[in-house]
Amino acid sequence: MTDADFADLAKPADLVHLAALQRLADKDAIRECVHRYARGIDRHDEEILRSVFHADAVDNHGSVTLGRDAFVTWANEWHVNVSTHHMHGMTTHISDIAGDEANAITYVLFTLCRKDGKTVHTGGGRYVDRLARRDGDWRITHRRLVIDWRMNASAPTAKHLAQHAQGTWDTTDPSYDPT
Amino acid sequence: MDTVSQALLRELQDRQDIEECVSRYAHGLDRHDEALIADVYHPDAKDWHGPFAGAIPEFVTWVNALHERKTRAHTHNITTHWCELQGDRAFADSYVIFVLYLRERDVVMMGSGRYIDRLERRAGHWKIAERRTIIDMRLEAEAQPLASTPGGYPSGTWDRTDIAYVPPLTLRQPAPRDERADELLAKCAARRAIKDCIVQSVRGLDRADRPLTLDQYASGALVEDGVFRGPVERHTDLLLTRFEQEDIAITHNLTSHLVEIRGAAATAETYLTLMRFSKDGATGWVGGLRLLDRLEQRDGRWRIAKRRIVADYELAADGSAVNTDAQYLRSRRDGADISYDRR
Repeated sequence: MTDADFADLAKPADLVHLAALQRLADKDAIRECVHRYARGIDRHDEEILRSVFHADAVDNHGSVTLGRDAFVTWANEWHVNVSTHHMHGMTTHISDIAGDEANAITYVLFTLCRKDGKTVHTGGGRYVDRLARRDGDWRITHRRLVIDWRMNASAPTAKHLAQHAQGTWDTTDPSYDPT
Repeated sequence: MDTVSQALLRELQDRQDIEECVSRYAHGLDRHDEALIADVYHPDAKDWHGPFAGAIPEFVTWVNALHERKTRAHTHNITTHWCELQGDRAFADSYVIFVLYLRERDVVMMGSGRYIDRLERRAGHWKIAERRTIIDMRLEAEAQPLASTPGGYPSGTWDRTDIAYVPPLTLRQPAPRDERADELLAKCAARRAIKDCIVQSVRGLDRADRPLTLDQYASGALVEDGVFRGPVERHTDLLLTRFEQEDIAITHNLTSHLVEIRGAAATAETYLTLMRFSKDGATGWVGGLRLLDRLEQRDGRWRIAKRRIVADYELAADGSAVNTDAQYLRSRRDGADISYDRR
């Protein structure tokens, strides 16, 4: 930005535009943060998972209430114990920003392939998040999870997707390969 | 901020507001919150919703009573969303995975549908002026009661005790930050363009709209999908032929989406919940896949240069899949689908 641009910014109309631009970017960053959680949890990537929460964040996963680092360890272990593959699809999303704080609600469709190879468990829930912007970075400070419904379906006997690469829980997953 | 930047900012705001308007509907509906549902419509709006056709106050009463009578819980998950702006009017096509935990049977019904909306901006607010609801398919699976597994998760409620009603924040005007405004605007615009490109690539498959899908790819683009490795034109033709031959209905629902931009190149990971209702024995099938895209920006337009498809799960709703309610509008796999309607 040149000095002339900065002089322009003093006009009230430009302040309004800047505030609107900031709100646009903030809402986008909040959505991105919540979606990054899905990637972190589905790849068991501790670094990505930690980047979703501020260091002092608290996560209420039902009766389990943990701080950030303990939650990351617990969540990965839990998923290893109950499934062979899983996906967390983020859908309906609303955010409400006030300054450096925000509330967000994000619906999730989670699917776990059970270890018996026969059962596929799917559920619908909502993440109810409080977020804060610190040092320019939007992250979760408090998360609560509601579960609305769950169902058991069967893995198909004739698999359509047998020839596809399947996701892994380490950096051999194709998504880490930029080609 | 110059006039071009102001127009771009306005467009990005419009698109964000419209997508959130559709999401607020789902949130209000799932909480049976009459005021929230009514607030996403203009006062004179109409909703064509299967057996119900008419004005909003009556719609709100009808839809809440229907869900209360038929279900123990439900969620309306908004997935693939596209919108086209025309000044103070907009046309949106929003996919929904609706899930009903039935009251009478221990069954969860999972369906795929679309909201075809005409929205208008009045007094600065984007709201729905006319909505038409489509149902493509319904599948059924055995419900697992929420109380059967320990974990202590709260369930949703249909009133203001639901935990989504978090204490409201005090509204303050956000302070403009010192990130360069032009860069910030360009970043937001690129992120929106990339997401729209991926959305259009799958909407084209669902409508059998070959040109729409191919327009999202750079020339010479490659696709890796299972054993298939080859040009996008051949991949698109194979998929369209297969869907036409095998399926009564098919929907590509996009969910979690992440993008990383470096100059004129980008990579994106987008989750895809693929729902198919096949002609063969009328069975339902749901696949969990990921689209791993490499995109390039040329002449100001983002396009997909390479797509790889990874699979994470698939499930069958064996013998319990049900076809759609005849009272609802149905999708068409051609230009007569109501999402092409611009009246």
